[in-house]
Order: sequence, then structure tokens, then C-alpha cells
Amino acid sequence: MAAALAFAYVTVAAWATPEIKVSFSGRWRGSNRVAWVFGLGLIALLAVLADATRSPDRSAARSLARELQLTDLALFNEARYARHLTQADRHAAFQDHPMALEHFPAGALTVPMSADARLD
Amino acid sequence: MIELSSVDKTYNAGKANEYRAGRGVDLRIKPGRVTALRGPSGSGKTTLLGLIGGLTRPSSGRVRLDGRDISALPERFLTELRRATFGFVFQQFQLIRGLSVLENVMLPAAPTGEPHRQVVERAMDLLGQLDLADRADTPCQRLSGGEAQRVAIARALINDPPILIADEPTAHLDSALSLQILAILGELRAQGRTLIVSSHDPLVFDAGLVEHIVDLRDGRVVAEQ
Amino acid sequence: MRAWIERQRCLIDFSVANLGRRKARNLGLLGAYILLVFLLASVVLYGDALRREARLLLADAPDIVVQRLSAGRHDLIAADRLDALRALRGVRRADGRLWGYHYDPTLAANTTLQVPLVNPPGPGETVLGATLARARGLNPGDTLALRGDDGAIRAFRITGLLSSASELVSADLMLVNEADYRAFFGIPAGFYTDLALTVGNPAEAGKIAEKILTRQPGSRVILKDEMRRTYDAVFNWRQGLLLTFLGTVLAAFALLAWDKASGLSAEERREIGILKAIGWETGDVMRMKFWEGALLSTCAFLAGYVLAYLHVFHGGGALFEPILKGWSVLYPKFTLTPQIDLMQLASLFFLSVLPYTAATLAPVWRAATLDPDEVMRE
Repeated sequence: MAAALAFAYVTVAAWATPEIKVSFSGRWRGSNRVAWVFGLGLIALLAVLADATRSPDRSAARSLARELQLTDLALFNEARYARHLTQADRHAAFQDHPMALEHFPAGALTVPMSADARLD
Repeated sequence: MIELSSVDKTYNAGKANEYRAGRGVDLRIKPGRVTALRGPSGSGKTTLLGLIGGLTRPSSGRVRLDGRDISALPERFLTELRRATFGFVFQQFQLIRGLSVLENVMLPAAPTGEPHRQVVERAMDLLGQLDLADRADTPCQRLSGGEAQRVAIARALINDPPILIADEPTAHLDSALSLQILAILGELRAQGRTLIVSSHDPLVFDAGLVEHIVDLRDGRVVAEQ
Repeated sequence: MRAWIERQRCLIDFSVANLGRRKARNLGLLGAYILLVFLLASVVLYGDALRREARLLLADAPDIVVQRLSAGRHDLIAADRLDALRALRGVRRADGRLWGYHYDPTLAANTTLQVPLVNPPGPGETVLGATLARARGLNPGDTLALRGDDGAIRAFRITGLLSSASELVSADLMLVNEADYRAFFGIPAGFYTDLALTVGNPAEAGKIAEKILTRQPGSRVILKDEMRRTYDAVFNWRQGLLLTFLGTVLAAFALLAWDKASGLSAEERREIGILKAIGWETGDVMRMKFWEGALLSTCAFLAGYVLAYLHVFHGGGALFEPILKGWSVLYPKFTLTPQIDLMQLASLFFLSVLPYTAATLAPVWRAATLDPDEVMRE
């Protein structure tokens, strides 16, 4: 996809800028260089956008989560309250003081549940 | 025809460093001739060139170009004049460091929207005429004084202006180079251009090129021949 | 139109030549700029992707989880509450969940022991999460010995591993059957860790939760919606180390850009004078400077964004891993689902291009309105 775009761009650009070599001592005009750099940049961006449309298969993980009735990502297991963020006491991460620096790095990345998020 | 009538130019008016560079100047410059402003430094030559070329406006009085009062023109039209009607060769060359000779020469044509290829061809043509064709890609800070002056002349001519204004064109050059530049000016004169130069270099006046000499002192015209 | 394009192209030619004149400085600036966009875009893309992943994977989480609180702490909940809950109108299903943490001294990490509702392992058997198995160097057929609640060592034969595609939710899981679980932790029959409810109409979950709280005071009720919101708030990007760190970078860059943009050197002022003297309009000077700023910042944006995308979705967010990992021993291997939000792309673009371009233009405006004859009077 990206290669095809790049090829198309090079062809069109070569056709549209015949004076590329007219410039002095074989150097390209500044604006041509800009057009090329930006053209390639745009192709890269389009390639990225095209790449972003693929959706990898998540069905295995999803059905496992359903079967086991999982509620959390296993992203932080350094502390128990961080392992199951949604199941922990709301204040667990902030036992000393709401403004206290967290002991575990994960605690600094996550936020405590907002006050209205729980019924307890 | 350029006419100046009772032109005054005062810098820093009302301040301690107030400086009157032009006082009641009346002057007529005929087209197709070489006019030279002569006088010691500080006599107001450069100021007068600036007023004629529309780089600055008089504090009072009028500057007319072919009957049109240019001292009252809006900035836009003044710019247009500077681009199309006048070519400037400044005393310190005033090339832009880091740009190549060709790029410097092409600078005044950039805002015109003229096709690039055409401008390049004309620039290379001019550089060829001035013996600089092989220096086109040289960054201009590497040029010698004589080369820099010729590049400045090429830049002044890129938009093919009918009037060329040169401030002390031989000031930084030795005699041989000065004569070379004068020969170039002679050719431009032969092409039918109006040349207005300032100088206090006897070489310029001895060359038989100048047809109209204006003597200046303290911002006043003291003699004309 | 052709003339207009040609004119812009000529101005761009000189912008490029201008940028090339201070190569080291401008390349340094470009590098810093790319790095900044890269970091900013990486944080935004990574945070978004993780949130989306959480939404996707936990879409089928229990609608309601009921926990018992004892003196403010989560405690075991009696199985007989299940019947009362099943009797509530709108509750379709209620199950007792058995899960808990076991500290593994070999790894110095917590693992999560859980009893699956369907297909539980046989007695003395276990199924491990892929990350855990990898960390312990275990394969199916091996035996894992753990010291239980009563001090006795229990051996579990590994009959299988959870698929490595599911590591993000199952990294540290160890599945055992109910009898083994109760024996291991010393949890008597008739008690569960918590209760998971499925409701007929998810819109009624809130009403049902309120009913549970009135009927069973001392419970904590966690709705699926709250779970979702928790993960939406993870990496909430006003928070956290990353943005504090980025804030510093941003401040440094702002200083750099301000220095470059606002301080026109005498040399630059002289050049603007020359350009005006040889017939450039104030507008032309501004346009050239605009192109200079726009080219540099757009270039930085394109490069920074593409690099950030590659970093997050093809490099596994390698730069963030140490930060996310923190002290986690069992860190899952996972790839994020790539996705680009066009609004976000646009706002990143404007955020990175507009301020810089504006900053380069402001001082030029002042210089470009000066009388050009200063050039002659030097």
C-alpha cells in the first residue's frame, strides 16, 4: 500500500516538475525539495492511517475474559489494589493522604476513582 | 525625468541627535544619462539616493518621477517602484550571507511570480555578462570585493529596471577593479538606462562617463555641471 | 493562479535556503521539535490505545459485582446471599467468584489464583497465564509447588497455558478448581470472594444496585460502567509522571523556540531591510518567514507523529514499558490495536504547528515595517 503510494507520488512528481534539473548545478529548487520531503511525509502518514485500519483478532482474549468474568487488565501487579483497580477500595492507593506521593509507580499513573463512580 | 523640489530630510526629528541630511534640495535628473552626486562623506549623497529611489520619504518637499509625486505614494506602490523601476547597488554590497551568488541575484524577482526557469536563465545571462557565470553556486561571503560588487550589480538588474542607483560603486575597490566597474556602468548607459551614482572618487569623474555632476555639501546642492 | 503559485514557490525556495544557512541550529531545533511531538503523540496514542483495549477486552465483564465490607475492608461474602440476589427482579444470573492473591517468594510477585466457572482444572492441576509461566520457566507437564495457607506445600501439575494473545488480561493468572482453592487458602465452603451478577437489561443495573444496597447494607456494589470509567481514567492525561516529565520538555522547548523566534538578531534585521530595499513587500517578508516556521514545524509534526505511531503500535511502546512496568515482575507482553482518531490527529497538528509559526512571525512583523533606507545608511 505504502509502496504503491510512493511509486504513484514519484511518478506524478517527476511529471509535474520537469524543471527539477534545470536548477543550477543539478541541485533541486528548494520548493521541489520541500515538495518531495512533504510528499514522502504524507505518504508515511497515509501508510500509518492505512495501517491503523487493521484490527487484530482479540476474540481469544475477549472470550477468556468473559469465561473467567475478569474485570481488570493485568497491567500493574506490583500492588494488589493496582492489579484489580476496579475491585479495590477506593482509597487503597491513597491510604496516607490524597495528596501523598504514591509508593508504587503504577499508583502515580492511575487516578483514584472519582467520588461519584461508586455507590459505597 | 526625476524632479526633486525643496526636499528636506531630517532624521531623529526633535531629538538630541537630530540630523538634517537634506536641506531644500532642488534637482532635475534627465533620463538616459549618467548623473553623479559628488561630495565628502556626510554631505547627504546617500540620503538623496534613498529619496530618489523611494527607500525613504522626504520630511518635506516633493519627489516626482515622470510627473508623478512618489513621496506621497502608499508603501505598496513604493515597493512596486523599488522592484520594477529602480535597481539598487548599495555601498556595502548588502548581499545576503549564506545564500549563493545566483540566489542573491534572483532575490528581487522572487515576489514577482515570474516563472522560475525564466528568472534563472536571465540571472545566468547577467552573471555571464559580468564574468561571474562560474561563481553562480558560490556562497556570496566567499567572494572578493570586485566580485561582490558585480553580483550586486547583477542583482540590481534582474528585474530590468530603467534606472540604476549606485552608492559609491568604487569605494571598496582598487583602481583596476574600479575601472572594470566603470566599464560595466558605461555599458549600462549604452543600453539606454538612467544611471544615478554617488561618489567622491576622482576616478569616476575622470572616466568621462558622467554627464551631469551635482556637488553636495551639508545636505545642500552647491553646484551643478 | 500560476503566478501566485510561482511566487509562493520562490518564497519557499528562499525559506529553504534560509533554513539551510543556519544548518546546525535549525537541525537541532528540528530534532528537539520532532522529539517533543514524538513524546506527546506517543503518550496520547498509547493512553488512548490502552483505554480502548480495556473497553474491548472487558466489554463482557460482569454487570454488577457485589462485595461484602467488614469494618471498611473487603471481606468474604456468604454464599446464601446469592439466592436473595437471584430473587431480585432483573437479575438474570448470579455466581460466586473465587479469586485471591498469592505472594510467590520465588518471583517476589503477587499471582492471582482464580477458580473458573466452566472447565475447571482437575484436582491438583492448574492452568497458568503465559507471563507467569514464562517468568517461572514453566511448561505444561511441569509441577508448581506453593506453600498454602496452612503452611503445607501443595504441588500443582500444569496442564496448560492460557493463550499468549490474552496476556493483557491473564498475565499472572493461575487457574485451579474450587476444592483446591478452598484448601489452599483455607476458605470454608459457603463463602465466596465476591458475587458477579448478570442483569437482563444493563440500563437497569443502577436501579438494581440501589436495591441491593438497601437489602444488604454493608455491601459494596461495583457496576460495569464504573469499571469502564476506571480504565477511561487510567492515564487520564492531566495526571501522572509522563506529563510532568513532558511539561519540563515543553517548557524547555518553549524557551528555545521563544529565543529563536523572538530575538531577531541585528543580522536578521539587516537582511529584512535589504529585502525591502530591493522590492519585497512587508507581506513577502512575512510570507517567507511564515513558510520557514510552517515548514519546520510541519516537518517535525509529520516525523514525530509517524515515529510515535511506529513506537506505540509496532515497537510495543518500548519507551513507556519501564514506566508502566514500575515494580511489576509479571509484566504482560501485548500489542495494542492501532487506531487513529482524526480529531486527535488534527488537534495535535494544530498544537504543534500553529504556536511555533505564530512565534516566528510576530517579531518579523515589527522589523518588516521599518524604513528600508536604514540599509543604505550603515
